[in-house]
Amino acid sequence: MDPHHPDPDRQPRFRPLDQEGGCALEIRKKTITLVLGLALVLALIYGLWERANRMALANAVEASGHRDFYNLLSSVEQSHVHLGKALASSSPRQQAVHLTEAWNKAAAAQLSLSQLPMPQMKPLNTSKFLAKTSDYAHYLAQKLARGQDLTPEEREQLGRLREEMKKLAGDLRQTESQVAQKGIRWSSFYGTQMPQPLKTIARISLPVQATPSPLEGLINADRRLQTMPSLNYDGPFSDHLERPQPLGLPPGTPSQEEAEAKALDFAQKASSVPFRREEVRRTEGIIPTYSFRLVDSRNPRKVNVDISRQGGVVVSLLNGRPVNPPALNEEMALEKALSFLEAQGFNNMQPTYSIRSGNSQVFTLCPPGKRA
Amino acid sequence: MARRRLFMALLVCLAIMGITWGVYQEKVAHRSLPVQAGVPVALGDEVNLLARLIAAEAGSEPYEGQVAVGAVVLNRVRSPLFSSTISAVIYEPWAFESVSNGHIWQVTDLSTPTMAAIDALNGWDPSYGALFFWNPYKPVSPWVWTRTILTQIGNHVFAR
Repeated sequence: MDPHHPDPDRQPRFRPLDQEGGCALEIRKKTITLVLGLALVLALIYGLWERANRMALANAVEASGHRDFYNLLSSVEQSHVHLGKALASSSPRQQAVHLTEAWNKAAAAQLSLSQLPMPQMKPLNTSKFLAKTSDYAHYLAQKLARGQDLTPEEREQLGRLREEMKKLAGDLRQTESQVAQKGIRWSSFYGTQMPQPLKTIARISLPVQATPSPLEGLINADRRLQTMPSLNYDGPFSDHLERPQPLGLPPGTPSQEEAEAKALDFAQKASSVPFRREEVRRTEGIIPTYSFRLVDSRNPRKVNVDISRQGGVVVSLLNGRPVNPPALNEEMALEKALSFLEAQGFNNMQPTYSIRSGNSQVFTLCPPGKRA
Repeated sequence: MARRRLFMALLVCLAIMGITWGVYQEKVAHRSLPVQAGVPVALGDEVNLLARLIAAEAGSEPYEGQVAVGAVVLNRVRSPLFSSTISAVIYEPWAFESVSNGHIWQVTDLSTPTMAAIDALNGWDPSYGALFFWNPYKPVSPWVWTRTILTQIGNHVFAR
């Protein structure tokens, strides 16, 4: 018999069982490989897509950081220039113009500084310097607008601020060169905290995780501005207002029991219902107080009353009860407020401002001849 | 047979891709938008912004503690150490944890925090002039402990 042409009668009608099983196994293997391969490709696409998103967001943060930094630099430089022009000018009108510009630029610089992403440091002294310079320039501009001239002391003070502004601009220029040379990426500061080995791997593998620089220029400026001479003037950021001292408190230090009796009496007069003490705390604000939380004997409403530890006078009362729809108009409400204050010994109070807030009308009042 | 299996595998992969995309759009992209009960809120409304911050930072605190958080923001606005607007103070990088982690946009119940924000804006300051607050039971920067502590309300310490 020809071995190459076996007898067809002796050929098996079906393939052997082991041969068929092997074929099915092979197809299954191929399918699994294919599915796994596709899953891998999908994971890769997803990873690349996520990375592209991350890069887009990082670039947006980067642009925002650079915008704030260059706005800061530009505003500081322009503020410095306008302070110089205000000092050089002999016309009060021109001085007012330049001081107004210096006020705006210093305020813009402070805003840009506050939005810079710098997790290692909080440039509080620089922020304070910019806010004070801005406020002082505003105060002088207002003075000139009233027809008053700058005094020699004010010119000297302005000169000192201009010098400090110049030094700050120099420090920022130094920081700018560091940013350019060391490739600081503001977005890198937003990275989630992770273990050091992973951080190192991430920095190597991802260019977006550049090593942050310590921003020496800004840090040096902030340290120097910590020792800036005091600035006293008629404005909200004047040094004499930084740690204000209470001046109107009578002498004597009442006991906690006496303060409590006063708080209960005052709250009862204000609301015409008796209260009892729920909690008391000692607070250390500008005016150190005993702070009482009182509750209505009949309802669960809570009232907070602060009594000064020196002199034992009422510092504040707040009744947080829900207010029904208004039954009084603004004039009637003011009349009621004034009569309550008069009953407590605050006579001739003058309203300075009023706002309707929900169902309440809120008034600010001050004694005649004083500002609220 | 093999072709059919390949076709099925491709379909499954496409379905997975579609589901992933859908979940991403639903959970991530939309979640970051400020909405309340499905209605977008005005970002420019500073009372709403302050209330959102209060809800996110002190939603589980007593009412007085919520007002105190609002007062800290307003004290910062008045301080030369910080920016002079509510939005600039709130959005200052790393100033508030709830802004960094996006929780400020996920709060839904703003009824009490809005009252707290209004009380703070009307002048109630239970923090007594504080510029900083933190939870002493959580890890915080050692720097904040150098500040003068003024009072404690609920789980928050308030300092100047």
